[in-house]
Amino acid sequence: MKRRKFGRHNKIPYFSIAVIILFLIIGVFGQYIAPYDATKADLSSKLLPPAFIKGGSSAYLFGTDEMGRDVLSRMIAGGRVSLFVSLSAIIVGGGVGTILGIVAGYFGRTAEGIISRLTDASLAFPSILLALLLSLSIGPGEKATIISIAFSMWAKYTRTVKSDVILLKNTNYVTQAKIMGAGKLWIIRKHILPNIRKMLVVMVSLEIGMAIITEASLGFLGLSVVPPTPSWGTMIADGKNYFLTGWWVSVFPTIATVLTALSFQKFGEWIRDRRKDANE
Amino acid sequence: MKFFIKKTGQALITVFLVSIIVFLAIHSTGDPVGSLLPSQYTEEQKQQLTEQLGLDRPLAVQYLQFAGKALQGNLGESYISKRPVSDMIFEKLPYTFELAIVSIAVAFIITIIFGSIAALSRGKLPDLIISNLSTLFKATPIFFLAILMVQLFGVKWRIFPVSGAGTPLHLVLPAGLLGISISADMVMILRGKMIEALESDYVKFDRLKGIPEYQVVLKHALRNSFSSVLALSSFIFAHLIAGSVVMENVFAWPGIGTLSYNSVISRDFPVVQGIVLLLSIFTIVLSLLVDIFSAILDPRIRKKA
Repeated sequence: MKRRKFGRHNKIPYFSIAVIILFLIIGVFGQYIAPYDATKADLSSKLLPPAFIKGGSSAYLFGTDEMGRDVLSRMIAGGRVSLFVSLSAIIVGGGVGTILGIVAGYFGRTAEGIISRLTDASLAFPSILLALLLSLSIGPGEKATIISIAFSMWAKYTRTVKSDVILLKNTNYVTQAKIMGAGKLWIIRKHILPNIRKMLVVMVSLEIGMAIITEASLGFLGLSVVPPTPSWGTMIADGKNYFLTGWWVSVFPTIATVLTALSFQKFGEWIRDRRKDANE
Repeated sequence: MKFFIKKTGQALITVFLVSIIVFLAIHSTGDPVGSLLPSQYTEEQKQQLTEQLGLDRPLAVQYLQFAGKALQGNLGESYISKRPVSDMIFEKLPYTFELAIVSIAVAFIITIIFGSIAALSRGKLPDLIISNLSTLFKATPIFFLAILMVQLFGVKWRIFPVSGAGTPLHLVLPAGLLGISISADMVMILRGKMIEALESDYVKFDRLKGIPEYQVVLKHALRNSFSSVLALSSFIFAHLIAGSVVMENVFAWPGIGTLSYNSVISRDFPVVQGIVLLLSIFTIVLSLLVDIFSAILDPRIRKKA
């Protein structure tokens, strides 16, 4: 592959990195930053517009929702949910997927056959329906959301890791390690894992954005966190009935979702292209 | 021939696995008996209903019964409406197919036009606009756009109907949005493949032969690249299902998405089971057909497998 003409992806994506850092800070320290309690309703100040438009008050920077709750504080609390759910889903889904991919790729034969059929089955399974099922079986909430997002992504890791491992397995240094008498686990730890690590980093950062959007979709359908705990998806859903009178209720969480997802996407692309260039 | 048998065999195993996943996932969703009985029920009533529904037998037996009946096209009866599940699904299926087919058509048209433009103008302004827009659409939750459209076109300007189905006008917003959202990924894939194709030897050779540029692009580069977009059919289909559940929800579209959502809410096991099973089998058959189709077109694939 030739390099892109302007190589614009090789520029460090400062803006994306800043957004990601802000997202992480809000996710971890949000409860100390938020100006109000995200779940406290105050009907005397409902649907107040954001501070920067007419009628807005500087007390509520992003306005209030239909129950008088501070939109900014709810967004901060929702950000914590997004961060927690997407990271956990990736750790579970990516972890399981990677292990199965290594097993399928390295040991081949029966293991590969069984795992390949499982990935086929999982890819054929409409993940949104599984999310609907799981939120019923374990009850709606963060756990159900994490499992359904994880289930929808493990197969992708398995496939990618498997094909990489098959390539690595036949390299000279692995063959020499075998001649040396190295055990399978030793080869996996010393040669396979370090080589797929960078590819995993790229996959993870590209997928976090998708996980955040999936969480928002499930929240929108009422399958993620239980009210009154806010998530960006549930906030967008709440605001849909007041859109003409109070657009800010759903527009600000949408901007937060898009910015975060976009930043992880750009960040992932940057790492990927950097890795590609390094290989050339 | 060996290739086709092998692929079909694999597809059958996948169907079997999916049916087990569906069966187990639904049965782990807790006891439907409780939600079906009136609020004041006796232990006896509960036991009777459990027996009637066959929920007291061992799981393996329940699965075999379910699979045996499913093979005969009998997906059981809805707990709520007492009607055969297959009837309920087939009643809604045309609406979902309508939405799906129009959305896919929209997605393909967008992909072909914008993917080609981006590839041909690689690195220049049109490419930058298309690439960035596609990334933006990928990151924007489709349901937000749907709400926006409902409010603007439906409530404020009253140009398009925003709930229900029936006329072509009803299709404009949901199918248009779903098509755009599916094409966001496909445009970039086509762009990448087409850039590869435009730099390949056969395209250079076409140009040397003096074939007009538009023919080189349309007949050779586009045709060869588009097959790699088709190879993603199962992925596209999964995206389509996920999108249509959300779209049907926002636009009150009377299709499978709404049916599955309502059935899950009312814990109607057999209906959900039927829908998930049918949709998964549909995806598997679709990707089998694409595999076979591309193997017929390209003998190299047959040898590789």
